[in-house]
Amino acid sequence: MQREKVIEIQDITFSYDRKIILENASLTVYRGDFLAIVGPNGSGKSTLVKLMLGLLRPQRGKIFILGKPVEYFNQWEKVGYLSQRAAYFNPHFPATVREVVGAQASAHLGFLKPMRPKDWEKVEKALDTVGLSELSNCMVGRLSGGQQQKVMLARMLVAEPELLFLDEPLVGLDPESQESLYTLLKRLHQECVLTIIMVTHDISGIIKRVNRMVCIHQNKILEHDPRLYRDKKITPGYIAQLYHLH
Amino acid sequence: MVEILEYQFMQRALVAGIIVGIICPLIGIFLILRRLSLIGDTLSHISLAGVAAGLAAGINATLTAVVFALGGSLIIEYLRRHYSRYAELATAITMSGGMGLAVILISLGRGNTASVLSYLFGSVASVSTTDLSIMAVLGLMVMVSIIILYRPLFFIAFDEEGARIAGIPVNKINLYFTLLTAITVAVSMRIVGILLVSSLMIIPAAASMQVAKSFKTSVCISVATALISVISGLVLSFYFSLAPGGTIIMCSLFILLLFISFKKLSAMRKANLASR
Repeated sequence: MQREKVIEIQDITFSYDRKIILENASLTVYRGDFLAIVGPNGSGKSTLVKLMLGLLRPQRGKIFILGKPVEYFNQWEKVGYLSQRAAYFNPHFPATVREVVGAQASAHLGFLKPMRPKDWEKVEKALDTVGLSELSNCMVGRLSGGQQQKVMLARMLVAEPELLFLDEPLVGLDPESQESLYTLLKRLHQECVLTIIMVTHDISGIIKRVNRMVCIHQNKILEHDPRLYRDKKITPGYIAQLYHLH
Repeated sequence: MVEILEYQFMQRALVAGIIVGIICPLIGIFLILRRLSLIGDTLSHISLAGVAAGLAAGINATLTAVVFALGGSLIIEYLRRHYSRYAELATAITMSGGMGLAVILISLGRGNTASVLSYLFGSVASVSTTDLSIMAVLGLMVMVSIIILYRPLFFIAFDEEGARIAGIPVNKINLYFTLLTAITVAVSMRIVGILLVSSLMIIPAAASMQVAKSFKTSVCISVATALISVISGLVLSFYFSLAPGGTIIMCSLFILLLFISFKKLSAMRKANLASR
């Protein structure tokens, strides 16, 4: 059976001023994939995610998201995006967990339509999924790094998306919080049949959990089969060495 | 308190103060959270150029200040897109331009120095009925706009990229918000003075963030702080012949210090209870 393409990148070229980031790069992501994007700092991992989301436009080539050219795509409630900047939000932002997640739930309601009970139910459900129901009235800045990342995930989940983009969600987390976040992502991937695209530096952690892994190297998107690692044919150290990752 | 209300100019000043006390923190809290506190100062410098132009041309200076501030806000937005990686440059460039223009216009309109000073430092006695009408209309517009845009503004302040992905028209809202900031600056300068407008936007919001338990309470506390500061500042300035703008700002600073002390005391009390 042919798998459904959710993201299709066709021969794109993108550069910042004169620095080429991607050249004639292609990638297809299928429904249900858990895809890791790894690569050295500045190689263009976050840029690739922003291109997929239409936040940046390639100079050449085409990008399709859920079957539509990204520039015409309008079903953004089906897409969740946790940006690097969101992870570094102002820790003194005076808002409760419930307000932060509620803002995401209200995004599709327009300016004046009030939140309905079923929208608040979605907020409670999303908080319950990430295990933060009891902290819903806490100020978001008072939570630990791991809990804050879970709040960010709850924001994504509240719209019941089909596609999740996570840009370095593990940065700044202690090993215990990282493990907890991995467990949660794995559960979401399996139970909610989510397609997850995650940018990360943690090769040894991610390689055991994803079904696909791509590296950005010399302006190209190169794919490695994570099973080769699981079969001990390659090691995370080898990949790190190959792509100058630290 | 009754005596103060017997004077028509104080009645007008109090109504104007209430308008200013509501709109300044409503704008200020979003400016702080988006790290755009400098925009208030920039627009007030441009408003000064508008005041000088109005006085030189013999037009209502509040109106010309509004027009200049709106123009300045459009320039800031244009430059911000041009220097997307150095957004603060946009405000710095516009501030310099506004100040330069203001100095030239003031020097052209010789003889209006006293009037310019009344806008620089605030002068409740010179709030005319026309000024009050303009302030009421524009103030109402700012209040209604913030109520309508409350949710998207909150979302953008927390996560601008996420707001774009969620389909919120971020660029349009940013532009409109900068225009609202311009209007607020121009409307408020009659009461607190051009030099202190941004303080009334920032200090009450900063004070509320010390004690608020949610974003909604933060907004309410910042408006309450500004209203108490404006009213008590006007009353004190009336009875003690003080400059109203400065007195209002000192009152808001006093409340900020109270909140900081309260927060420290409650943290100490909690630590004591935990150690027992």
